[in-house]
Amino acid sequence: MHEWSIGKAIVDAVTNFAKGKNARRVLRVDILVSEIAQLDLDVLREAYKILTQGTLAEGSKLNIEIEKAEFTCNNCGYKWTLKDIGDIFSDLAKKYGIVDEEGTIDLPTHYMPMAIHALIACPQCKSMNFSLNITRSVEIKAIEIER
Amino acid sequence: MCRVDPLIELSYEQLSKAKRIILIGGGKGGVGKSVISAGIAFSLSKNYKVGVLDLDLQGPAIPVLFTHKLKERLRGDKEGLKPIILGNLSVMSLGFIVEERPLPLSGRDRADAVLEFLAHIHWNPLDYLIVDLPPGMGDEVLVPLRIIKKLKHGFIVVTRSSRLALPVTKRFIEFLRKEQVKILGVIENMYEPYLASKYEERVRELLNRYEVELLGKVPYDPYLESLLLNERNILESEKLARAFREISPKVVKLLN
Repeated sequence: MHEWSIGKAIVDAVTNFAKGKNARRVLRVDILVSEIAQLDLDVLREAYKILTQGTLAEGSKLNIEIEKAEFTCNNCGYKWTLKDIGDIFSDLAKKYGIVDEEGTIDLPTHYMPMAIHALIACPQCKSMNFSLNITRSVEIKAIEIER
Repeated sequence: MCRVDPLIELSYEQLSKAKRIILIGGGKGGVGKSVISAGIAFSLSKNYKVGVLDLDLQGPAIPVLFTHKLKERLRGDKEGLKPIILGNLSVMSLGFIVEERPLPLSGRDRADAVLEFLAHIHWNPLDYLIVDLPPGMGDEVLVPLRIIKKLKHGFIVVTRSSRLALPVTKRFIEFLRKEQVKILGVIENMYEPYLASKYEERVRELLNRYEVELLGKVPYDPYLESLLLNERNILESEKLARAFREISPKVVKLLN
């Protein structure tokens, strides 16, 4: 549950960008969030709202798009999604789950999405050599500013 | 895609918790970088708050060197993953996260894995952070260098008297020079006087050519393996303890 530190990093990155462009204020920020990171979007929105107070980004709109994970096996070509392996994912939480201060159990992928490569394999051929479309927990796609 | 990167911002902020960062690498595998990292960390932790970050994502050795008896699970908080605390030491390794499972990574996956790891470790304030790097000049070295170069840092290059290791060490120092990384010096590990005498001239040439200091020679001690097997601290080896007693104050002085 580290959405607040991610929120702060987004606010810092956005306000630094805006300052560099001599912006009067930030109007809109679009971010892309990985499905694998399993971030709590309500907490992230709340963090953004509070952390932007008193900054160039105060009152700006935060648009969050969740990108669904699509896996492709480099060995046999099989394609799958997280939904297809839902049960395995919850089983993994029992063994590799990381507990936070509030008792929430998160998978290592919450902190490092690419840890997924250590946790799952191709459902068809069991190879660990697979690719996926998203590699980061969060990315900033666009920032709209007013000069 | 927008070039503004919150993960870089976050990595910088997390790593800024350390007053000084000591990177330990060497290009060549098997020269004992993790043992050197552990030796310096144990030695400095007698007087300072020291963090140890194992960036060898595919062959993490730090859990074996530090926390073999530890059964505690890793925990998280609002700022990220909390390192394992052992007195004055704070230790983090991917080995704590995925245990002994392999982590096959390639291309962008590898670079982003390193960046996310740097961004989501919540360090307490530290006097020194020791970063144990894997062999080579891949993303585990390139990604942290981009961030750490802006912070107070120093690089220790580990090598050994070997026809195979020394040319790689030379290339590695050349790379660090071009990257404008501050090199604290070289440590000759697994030092064995008879073998080292065959390479004395080559080592001297290397040090002179790049104007780098030899921080010390850490002797080969067959007792080390027995200490690891019995889950003991590596500084119980008197030979190693003596070497690190000499090296650590030099490192502190060079970074001040």
